Amino acid sequence: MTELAVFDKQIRRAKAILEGWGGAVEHLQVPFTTREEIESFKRRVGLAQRKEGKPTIVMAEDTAVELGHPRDTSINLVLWTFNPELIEDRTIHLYGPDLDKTNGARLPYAQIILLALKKGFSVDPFSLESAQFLSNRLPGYMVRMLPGRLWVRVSRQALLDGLNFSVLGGALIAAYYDDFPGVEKAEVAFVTAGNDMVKEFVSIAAETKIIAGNNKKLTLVGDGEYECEDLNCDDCGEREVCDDIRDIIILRRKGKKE
Amino acid sequence: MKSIAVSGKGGAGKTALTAMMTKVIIGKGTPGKILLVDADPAGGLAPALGLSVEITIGNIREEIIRSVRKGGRKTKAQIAGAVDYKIMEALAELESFSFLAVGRTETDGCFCPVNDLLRDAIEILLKDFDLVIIDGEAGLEQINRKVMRSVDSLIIVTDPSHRGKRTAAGIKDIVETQRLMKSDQMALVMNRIKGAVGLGEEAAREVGLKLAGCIPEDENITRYDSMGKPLLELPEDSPGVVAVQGILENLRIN
Repeated sequence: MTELAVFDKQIRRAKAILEGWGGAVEHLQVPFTTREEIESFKRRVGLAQRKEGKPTIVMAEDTAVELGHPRDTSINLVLWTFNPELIEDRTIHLYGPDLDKTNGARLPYAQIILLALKKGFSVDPFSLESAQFLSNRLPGYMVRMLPGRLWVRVSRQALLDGLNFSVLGGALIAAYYDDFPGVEKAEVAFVTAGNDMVKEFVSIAAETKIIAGNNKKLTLVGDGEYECEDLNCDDCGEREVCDDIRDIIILRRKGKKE
Repeated sequence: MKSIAVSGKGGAGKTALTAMMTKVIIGKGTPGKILLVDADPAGGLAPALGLSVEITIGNIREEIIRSVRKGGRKTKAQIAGAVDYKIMEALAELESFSFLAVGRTETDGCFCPVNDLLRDAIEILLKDFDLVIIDGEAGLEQINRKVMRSVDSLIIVTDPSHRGKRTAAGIKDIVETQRLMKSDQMALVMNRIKGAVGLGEEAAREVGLKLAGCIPEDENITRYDSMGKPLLELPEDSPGVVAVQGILENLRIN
C-alpha cells in the first residue's frame, strides 16, 4: 500500500480559522478516557458497531434539526497527520448553536475531523473518510453524503434522548478509536453559525480533495469490492458502464450492513 | 407497509384515481406516512396534486450514467454513497404525504443495473412509509424496474372503450403469466361510466377481474383538469370522490 499523504498544513489552517473566532467557539471535552468509559458511553448513546447499524431514515415531519440541507452550505473534512502535537485529543469545538437549542431549525453545517495516526499506520483513505458519516450507527441520526457535502437530519426523539454535539462528537471520536487501531488522537469541530463561517473551510476542502484524489489511487481491498476493470465488451458498447454500476451496488449493499 | 399500484390504458384515468384515493385517505385522517410515486414518464400526477417536480429518479439515473462514464474507482465509491443523498433530495416531503417522480429516461440503452441500484435505494426509503401508492403507466415495467416488484393491491383502470378493456385484460395476463408484478389482490375500476348500470360488472367479467367499483363521469374532474387545478381540492361530494371512497372500502384499503 502506498504511503498515506498527510494534511498537516490543512490542519493548521483549519485550527487557525477556529482560533480566529476566539471566544465564540465553545470547547468541550469528551467524557471518556478509558476503554470501559468508551464502552459505557457507546451503550448510553446507542452507538452501533461498524456493520451492525440499521438503515435510518428521518422524514421531515420527524425532524428536529436539519444540518447542511442541499440548499444550504455544507462541508465535511477528515484530515489526518502523523504529528500528534497537532491534535488535541478528545476535544470538540462548536461554533454556533447546539442541537438542543435549534429545535425546528435548518442550519448550514461544517463537520471537521482531525486525526493523529500512529507512525507507520497504513489504511485505505476512503474508509477513514467514510467513517465520519456514522451511517446507520446512531439512533435518530440520518446522514446523506455527496463528495464534499453532508446533509444530516436529527429526529425529535433523538433530541429528547439527549443527542447534542457533545454526544455526536464523542460518538465520532469513539467510532474512530474503535474502527482504526492506528488512530492515536481525534478532535472534532462543528460549525453551525452561518453560511459564511462554513464557507471559510472551502479552500481547505478543495486542497484536500486534490491530495485525497492522489491517495485514492490505492487499490481498495476486501470481499471483491472492485472487480477487475479489464472487461471484454461483447455485444453491448455500454457493458463497462453496467459493470461499474454493479460494483456500486455491491459497495452500497455492503455499506448498508455497516 | 401497504402498497397499491394503479395501471391501465393511457387516458383511462389512473392519475385522477390516484389523486382522489390520496384525497380520500388523507381526508379520513388515516394515521401513518403516505408516499405517492409517479411512475408514469409523462409525469401527470404532480400537477394533479398541485406539485412541481424538481428532481426525478430519471434525472438521478442520467447523473449516475454520466458519472460512471467519466470513470474511475473513486467515482464508484462516491456514487455508492451519493445515491441515497440524491433520492432523499428528490423526495418532496409535504405535510400530508411525500412524493417521488420516476420521470423520463433520456439515455438510450437498457442500463438495467442502474435500475437495480435505484430500486435498492428506493426500497430502503419505502420501508419508512405506511402506505405507498404508485401511479403507473399502461405497462408495469416502470414500476417493476424502478420502484418495487410486488404490491398488495394492483388496481387496473379502464374506461368503457373496447381498447381500455383489452388493455386491462392484457395487464392481467402479464401479471399472471409473466409474473412481472406480484400482487395479493388485483381488481378492476371502471371509469367514466355514463348511466348504464351493470356496465362495470360486465366489463369485469369480460376481463376476468373482480370489480372494485365504478367512477361516474364527473364534470368537476374535467373542469379541474382543464383549469390545471389540483384534484386534491375536489369537493368531498364530487361524484368521483364519493365513488373512490366506495372503491377503497371494497378493497379494504382504508
